[in-house]
Amino acid sequence: MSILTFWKRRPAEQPDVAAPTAQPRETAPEQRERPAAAAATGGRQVLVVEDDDSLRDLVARNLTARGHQVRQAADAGEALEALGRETPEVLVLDINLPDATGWDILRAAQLSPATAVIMLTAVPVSPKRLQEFRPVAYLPKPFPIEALMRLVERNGRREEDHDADPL
Amino acid sequence: MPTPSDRPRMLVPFDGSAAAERVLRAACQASKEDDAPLVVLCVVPVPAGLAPDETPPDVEERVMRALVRATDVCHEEGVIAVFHQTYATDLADEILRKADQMQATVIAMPLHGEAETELMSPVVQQVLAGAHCTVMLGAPRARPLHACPVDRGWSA
Repeated sequence: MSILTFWKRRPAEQPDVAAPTAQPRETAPEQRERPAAAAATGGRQVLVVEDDDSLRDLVARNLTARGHQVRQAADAGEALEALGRETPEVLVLDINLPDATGWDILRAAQLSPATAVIMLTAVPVSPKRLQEFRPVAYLPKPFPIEALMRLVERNGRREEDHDADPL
Repeated sequence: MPTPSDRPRMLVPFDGSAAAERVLRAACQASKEDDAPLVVLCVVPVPAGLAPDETPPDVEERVMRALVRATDVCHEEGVIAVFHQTYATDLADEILRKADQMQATVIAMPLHGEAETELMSPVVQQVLAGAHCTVMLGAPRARPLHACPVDRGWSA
């Protein structure tokens, strides 16, 4: 796929009522696995949810090259499946996905507050959604890939927020 | 119907740069869309060791011009915002203080300021580290820029 596909205009944000095609697993947040391999190497456990294959691959390659342990999901179904298996330290989440919105994933997954969420989107920011889900950062597309790398490495959220109210 | 205190609130630190203007315009659109009060903050950077009234006049004037520009942008976008001009030695501290004070939902700012060339400025990094709310970095561009190699900071 051409690099030019990174620039494709994305469709308007899907309505909030759009439900993910896959339901979250029954696993309680505290029962999910949290592999220690990346932590041991100083990298982060990152889940990248993005339906644009080229962009997802670009982000994943850059994160992997920096020592992070990266999992990828191309849609909400895959994302919820991955989140049901383990809790990432950082969730890089596109808002417009083919089967649901990133907001739907956040609503369904009920992430631990220890997971820093970085939203990616080409659609205008919605303060109401930000108020509801409190992602650490909101990075409008197109963005410099280095900015995302730094956001992931900072892991955004302050320590004291980890014990605060959930996303 | 949500009370004013339930509504999401947006803080836009504004330095008059083109990047900050793009962010402000995006924030104006969002403010209209979600009926979110918008506060524009222009900070006069006070050199360490000086009192606010000892700030170099050209610095003060630059910030004043930024403030006027911000009012123009909001007027063009059809948004009624609240504008604040303050003096501070530590810009990030001031932004965070204001965000906490107004219980901001989001701080919207560019990746770097007018006088900075770094991709993610120290001010942005401090704000990210200290913010109790979401930090929106930049605004969507209407048109793509040029592609560039992976290790030289592609735009995605």
